[in-house]
Amino acid sequence: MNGIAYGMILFLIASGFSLIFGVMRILNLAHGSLYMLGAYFGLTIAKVSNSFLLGVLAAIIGIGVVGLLLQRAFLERLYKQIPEQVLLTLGLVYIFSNLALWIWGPFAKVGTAPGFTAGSINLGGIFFSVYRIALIFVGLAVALCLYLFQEKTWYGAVIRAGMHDKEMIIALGINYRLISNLVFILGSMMVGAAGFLGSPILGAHPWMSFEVLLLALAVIVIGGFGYVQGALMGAIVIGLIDSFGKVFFSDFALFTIYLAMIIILLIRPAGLLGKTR
Amino acid sequence: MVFRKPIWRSQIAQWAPYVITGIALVALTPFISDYFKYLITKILIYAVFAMSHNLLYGYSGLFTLGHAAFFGVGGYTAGILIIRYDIHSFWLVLPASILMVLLVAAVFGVIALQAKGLFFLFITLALGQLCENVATKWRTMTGGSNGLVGIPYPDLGLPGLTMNPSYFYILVICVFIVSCFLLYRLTHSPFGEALKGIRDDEGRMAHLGYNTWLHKYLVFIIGGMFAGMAGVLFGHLNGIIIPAHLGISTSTMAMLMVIIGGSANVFGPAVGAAAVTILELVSSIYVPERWPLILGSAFVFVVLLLRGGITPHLVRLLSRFKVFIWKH
Repeated sequence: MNGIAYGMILFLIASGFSLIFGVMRILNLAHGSLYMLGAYFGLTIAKVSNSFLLGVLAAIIGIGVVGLLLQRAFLERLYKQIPEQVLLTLGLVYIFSNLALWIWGPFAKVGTAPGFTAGSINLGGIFFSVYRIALIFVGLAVALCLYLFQEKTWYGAVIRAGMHDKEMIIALGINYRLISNLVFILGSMMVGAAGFLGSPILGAHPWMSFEVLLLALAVIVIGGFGYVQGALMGAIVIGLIDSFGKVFFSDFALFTIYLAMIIILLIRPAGLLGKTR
Repeated sequence: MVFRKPIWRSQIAQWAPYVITGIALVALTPFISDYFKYLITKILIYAVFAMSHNLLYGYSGLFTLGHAAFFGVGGYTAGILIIRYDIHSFWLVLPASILMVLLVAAVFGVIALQAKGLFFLFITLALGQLCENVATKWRTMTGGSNGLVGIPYPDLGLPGLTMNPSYFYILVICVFIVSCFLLYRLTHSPFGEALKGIRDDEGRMAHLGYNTWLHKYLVFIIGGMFAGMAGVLFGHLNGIIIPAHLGISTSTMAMLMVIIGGSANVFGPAVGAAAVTILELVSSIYVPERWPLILGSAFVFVVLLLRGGITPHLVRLLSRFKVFIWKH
């Protein structure tokens, strides 16, 4: 159960990452930093306003704005230049990490779950924290919304079409720049929300960017790019692997994830569900 | 009618600047302070590391984010041999460390080269982080997150020679020049040309009958070995190796050196190594806490405004200078 709750946070992280890459071919390695910033934004606002909900809103809106700025200022110019994108976003990781260290200090901050989800409930003799169960519902709701958005709405159709043939979409007179900006904002908002929602479990500290990024990559390796279902499945698998890893090899938590990622890439070099191009 | 210089003369002209620089650096030994020697030594070690990274990135199109794994494995192997097993002779430690790196690279190469493009990037990143994790957890051998402390200068086993910064400086210059020579020959050999072909169009090279996988595998191992050698020297220089030397932060340093220096030339990354090391020095004097901020800004600056790195600009400046001298 803990693994699944953790998986939901991973889902929020990875689906944004995979959406952004799937739609725009932008590999945003600063995604982990957006997560970190989301956690810090939310925690700061939640502390000031004493309201969990305002914290969530702050994380979502704040990271949405940061994401938009990133895309408009930098990444839009590097369309289809993957090495340049990687270098630039790695630079951004350093910048964000150091800024976070500067502003919020070196000590990890841990969020508190809101009052209405405090405590735990007894399910068949095992206690589960209400907050984690709430997280699972939130995650599933987001997944469902995203799925419906991507599969059933006009915007979703444009996005799916854009994944396959960007030029054709532009030729049809659709404002692709606007669409891709929106997708980038959406992806950033999700990771921002994840940052704050995950803070009672994972905390926030300035050195977490790469960790979060690698978790997102591990999910992508299982789930493939651009598909909600894949990201959801990958996130749950990684969440479970991590929880079991923590139980059985307590010192090697991340170790098991790296190992799983490497083994999967070894067997299926294009990802577990990925199509071989 | 075109007059061509005899080949040997053009080769001398080509090599002269490097030989002269090397001799000049060695000749400077008695006149510069130990700190300056430390700085130049560090630049040259990083230069070897960055050039080996460029062998993969610039020449073979293998975009790796786990190259520091080999750097760190080299450093750790040397450190562990010296501290834990009391083997001090440089002539044992260096080959043993390089052999270890060779083994690691041979295994990692098989794993990483399964994947292509982006997934190659991911898997090398994961392999590097895996190494960092192992080094952090395996406390009895690696000293955990505190790192392996107290690696002495190498023992060359020459009678009447006690190692000091000056001798180490000369040793590193020798290693640097030999590495430059080997890397230059490698990239200008048929093997190097084949690598460039694979970088530009792997499918075509495969159709021409080249075993592209084997080429990439070999260059992955060779690059790893040079990185490992740099790691051994780095351990000796700093006296300490920490888990971060295996992971992404060190890999990205090498990456930055390559793109600042420019990847089109064998020696470009050496220029980049000098630039990054000097930048780090300046930042450590004025704003030590803000070094990552400056590092990150350097990435953004180079990607957006300095495509191709500074080396092409330097070369152009140098040739203009030559023309200027020639005219007057």
